[in-house]
Amino acid sequence: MSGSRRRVPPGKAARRGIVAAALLAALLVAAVASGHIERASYWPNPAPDTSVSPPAGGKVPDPRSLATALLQSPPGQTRVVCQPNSLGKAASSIAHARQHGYDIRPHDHRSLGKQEARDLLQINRELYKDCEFHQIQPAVTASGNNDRVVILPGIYTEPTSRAQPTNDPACAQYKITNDKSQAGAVSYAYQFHCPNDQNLIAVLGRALGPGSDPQPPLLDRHNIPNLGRCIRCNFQIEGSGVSADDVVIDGGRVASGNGPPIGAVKDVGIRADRADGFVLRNLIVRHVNEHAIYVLEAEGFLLDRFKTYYAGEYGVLTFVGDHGLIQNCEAAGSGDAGLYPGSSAEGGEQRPPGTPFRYTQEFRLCDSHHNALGYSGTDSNSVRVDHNNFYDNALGFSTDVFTAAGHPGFPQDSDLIEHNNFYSNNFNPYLPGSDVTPTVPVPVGTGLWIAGGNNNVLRNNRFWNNWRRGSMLFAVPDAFICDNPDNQIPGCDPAETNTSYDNSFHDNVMGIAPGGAHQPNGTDFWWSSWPGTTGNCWFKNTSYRPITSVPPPPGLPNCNNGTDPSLSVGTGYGPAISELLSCLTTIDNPDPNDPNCTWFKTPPKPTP
Amino acid sequence: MSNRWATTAALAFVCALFAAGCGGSNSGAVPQAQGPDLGVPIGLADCTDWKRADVSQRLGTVRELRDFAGGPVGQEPGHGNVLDDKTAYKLFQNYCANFFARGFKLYKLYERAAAFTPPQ
Repeated sequence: MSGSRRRVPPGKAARRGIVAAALLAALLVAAVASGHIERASYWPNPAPDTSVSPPAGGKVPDPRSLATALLQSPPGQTRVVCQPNSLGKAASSIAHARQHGYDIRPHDHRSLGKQEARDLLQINRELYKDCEFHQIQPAVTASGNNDRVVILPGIYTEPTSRAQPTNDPACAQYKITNDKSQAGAVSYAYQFHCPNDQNLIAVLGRALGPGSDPQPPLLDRHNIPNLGRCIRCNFQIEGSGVSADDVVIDGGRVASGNGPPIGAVKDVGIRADRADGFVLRNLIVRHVNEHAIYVLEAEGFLLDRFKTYYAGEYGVLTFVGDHGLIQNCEAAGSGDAGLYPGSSAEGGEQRPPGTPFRYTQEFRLCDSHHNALGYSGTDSNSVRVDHNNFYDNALGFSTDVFTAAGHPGFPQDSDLIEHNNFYSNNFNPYLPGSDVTPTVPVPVGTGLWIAGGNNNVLRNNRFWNNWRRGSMLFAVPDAFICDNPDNQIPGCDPAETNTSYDNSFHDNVMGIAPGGAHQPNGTDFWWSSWPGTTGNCWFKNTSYRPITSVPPPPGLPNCNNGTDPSLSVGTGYGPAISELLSCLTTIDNPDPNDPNCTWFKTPPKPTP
Repeated sequence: MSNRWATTAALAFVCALFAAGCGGSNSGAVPQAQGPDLGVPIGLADCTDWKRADVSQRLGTVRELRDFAGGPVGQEPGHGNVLDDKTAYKLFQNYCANFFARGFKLYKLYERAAAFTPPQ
């Protein structure tokens, strides 16, 4: 037991989970923005579904190589999508890559060998012979379990999908009332019957269930109720080009290229809904109102070698996902976050009893830049984030509990954030003329913040040239999340503070670029020191100068180099808490440019 | 330090910093949140919609957001913290007056503010 926090051992957490996940779940109307009202969603059963062979879910799926798409042997059938000039584009791209190389992402440039180039061209030629589709959605719709869709080079606008109505009256009967008494939430059945109402491309992994969706939604959000059989599990969709650049799926203004304006026609680019074992590789998705790639209620998925540009909200949104791996990617131009794992399954402090600690999703080897936020995850638990670059955003990384009422998993806990670069997050989308329209207020010039979270480990990262701060840590008291002592968000008790405990920041390099140049952060570490919070420690972090902090030294507990977290007890640092109140409420500051809140102004560049 | 004592102390600490005070009554002309909304799903409504709306639509939106952020849900209703309607109205008026906030989703502003506003 530490401080005022109701610490929950795994067993107890899961026992309480019935109430907890339950209630939380009950609150789980998608709090993510939507042109449609999202249904309440559930964490999938983390066990593999053995009704299909190979089993679906239970682990991150193994991708099948492009060459195997030519094999006739099972599992699965391949459907090829192409355009008349696909082969010419493939040849041109391969030739260009031979001469100049190609980019997996801005920080990963690769060369293409001679034999590799020949093989790839030959594969594309063979695939082209098998091409039967010129739009992607029909190929997806025709697919079943273990099948795959291979897309040859080209720009795909999906004219048939675009022509489908939004909020189609024909599917009005499938709208349901969610747990906030909001009529008109789009059910899984709605997606099933009107797959292109919201989505340019919909991958619906399961049939409709035999019954009806519980109304109101179940309180316990573990396991999806009324789940149908696998009809598109272990499905793989991929581009056949040299890199993601060769296959573009565009939901809006094609003439914008990979830039703005968005000019979106659809809200979602690719939706993978209940698609256990889903694999997406080697393509671009861009120009949608909300999310370029949206993975929902999926057990086991891999998103690999992809790029997203200019999504109104999120480049990638995974919600209530488990056994997910997102890697080798680029995300830019998002109005909220480039990468967003919302309510990732519980594998940490609140994991089910008797189960081992595990990371339920991993983001690695991605470059997320020029978004309002590089990464965000509300109530996103036990996510491993490693070997990424977060740069040129307003805020590089966020994990928070702000919208806890809409996300299961409160309080957020147990992320591992290591070996990442957080640098130059000084992009100011709030300035007139910005090419990104931000949908959320965050402090420009900040590498990372934990806005209410526990037991997160940040180690071996490098923070430099973030003109406001390298990192921020603050608590969001339960009383501000749930104010009724009788009716709680699971895990939330207004009499307590359940966030901002046991976070550690260690062995990070501050203010030094990889080449050794001194590029300081405005302040290295910032902490609200919420009264009574415990176990937050900063140790073995290095810089070319003394570490700078708020509260000023020695305000950050070192915890005897991390060996005794009990030495850290928050006492409240007034200026920090005042800033939060000023910037997040602005209720009594009619002008948010008031000196009390400078979040929306680009900070001056700090001098070494 | 007991749990409740710590929390009470913490809240008192914040209240001392928070200009609006804690637990105060909503004196004055509290907008009555009723009427039509902005005509877009509440999860999509942004400051541009707010500025385009008339007072009646804004009040309807505040009501919707109160339900969205903290309305009764489920078989055993629970709810997140909510703002009083007057506070919410002021929040949007103040934020949305700024060009940089034109794309801010109202629910994001609301829930962040609620997360840092002591319960009434």
